[in-house]
Amino acid sequence: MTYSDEHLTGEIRTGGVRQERAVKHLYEQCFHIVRYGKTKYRQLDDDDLVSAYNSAILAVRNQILNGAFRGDSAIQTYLNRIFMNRCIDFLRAKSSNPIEFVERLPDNADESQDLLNRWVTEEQIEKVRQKLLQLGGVCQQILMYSEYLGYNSAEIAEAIGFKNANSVNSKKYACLQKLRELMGVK
Amino acid sequence: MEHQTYELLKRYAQGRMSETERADFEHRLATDAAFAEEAAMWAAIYKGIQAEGDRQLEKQLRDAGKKLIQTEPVAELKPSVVNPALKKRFQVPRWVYAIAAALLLLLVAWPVYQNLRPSEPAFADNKALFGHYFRQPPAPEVRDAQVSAWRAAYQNKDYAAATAELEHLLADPAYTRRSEANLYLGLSRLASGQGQQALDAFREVSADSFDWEDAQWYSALAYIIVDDVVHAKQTLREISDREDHPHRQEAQSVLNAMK
Repeated sequence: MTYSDEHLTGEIRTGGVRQERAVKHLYEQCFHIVRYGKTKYRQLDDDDLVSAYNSAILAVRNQILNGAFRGDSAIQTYLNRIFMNRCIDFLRAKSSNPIEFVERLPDNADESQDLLNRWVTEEQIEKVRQKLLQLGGVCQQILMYSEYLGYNSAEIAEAIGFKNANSVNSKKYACLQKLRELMGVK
Repeated sequence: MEHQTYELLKRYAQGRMSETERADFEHRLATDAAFAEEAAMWAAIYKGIQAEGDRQLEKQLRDAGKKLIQTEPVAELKPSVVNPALKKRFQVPRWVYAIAAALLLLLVAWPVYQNLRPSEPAFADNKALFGHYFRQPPAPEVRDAQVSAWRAAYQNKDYAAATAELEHLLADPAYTRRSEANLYLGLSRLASGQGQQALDAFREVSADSFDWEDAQWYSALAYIIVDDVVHAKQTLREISDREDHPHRQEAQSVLNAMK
């Protein structure tokens, strides 16, 4: 079964289980891109190709979520462009000569993230990741479900065995506050 | 209040603000240093959570990708001029192959089995059976270099002369190697077709002597030639029951042939 772009983008924006399912469908539906990449980029091994594809899927997912993907082109075209660029990045990393690949296509600019990218350094992001792991299992689960996968509070309550959505909300903000404190802010 | 800033920042990052909201938010960031600092902290937290989420999702996708890349896609080609539809081939069920293989194996193995199987002689009568199994043993080794008359006659297959010489020896009560002499007397008589007389000689062989086992075996053959099947089988069973008997295999074979 083939899923339309409208269906996939709609489901990803809905969040929760429907988002997870849609990402899986998108991944499998467009995997032929990797097989084609295998014949096109013979210097890359399977691991590189899967990494490039995963990176493209994550980029497309994020751009659908932050509205940067507006549906001007088909998801597959968009995905393929990012995948090829990632493959070229891998080829450059492997090559001892700084070859210029003329085929590299520009990714769509993610304007909404520009400002955040200026504020936040890679070191800060890494520090947050480390502190997140110190928070404990329940906080990690709540923050991942809520802030990354887009589950609503009722779904999270059911998934992790909380009494109700309100308990999840309270806990979520307590976890965010704790994370903030771990980052050194009172 | 802090959480309101986080939620605002999240909406901004996800592009869910209207144009007016977005403009107001950016204006406040530019003019309110405390708010900008607060927002920067939440931005780091928001992006850190997204980065960790991406890492976990990537890990899941990697497992799926490794499986997918190892499986060939199912070809769904439609018939065309360059790619004509394949005719549906008749497929022979596996059990037909199994039966055919078994029959082929039987066909090849049966003649081999027939050739390798020891053929059991079909004996017309006891005489034929006796003829198949009776082998005249050679004369005993001479240790003292004095070739006696009976040995010479026996070696030359002059069984009548050998019989006469042995009877002459055995008539002397002082003769000591009586078991050996009786064994060869029996064998000479058996070779001359005197089964009953041969039996008389074999009976005189001492059970304690080295010649006893041979005497037993040739007695069984003598019973066969005189058509005494009962005593023949009895003697053959005695031989085949003894694991160390030198004629055990032959005795079993004769017993099988007599069934």
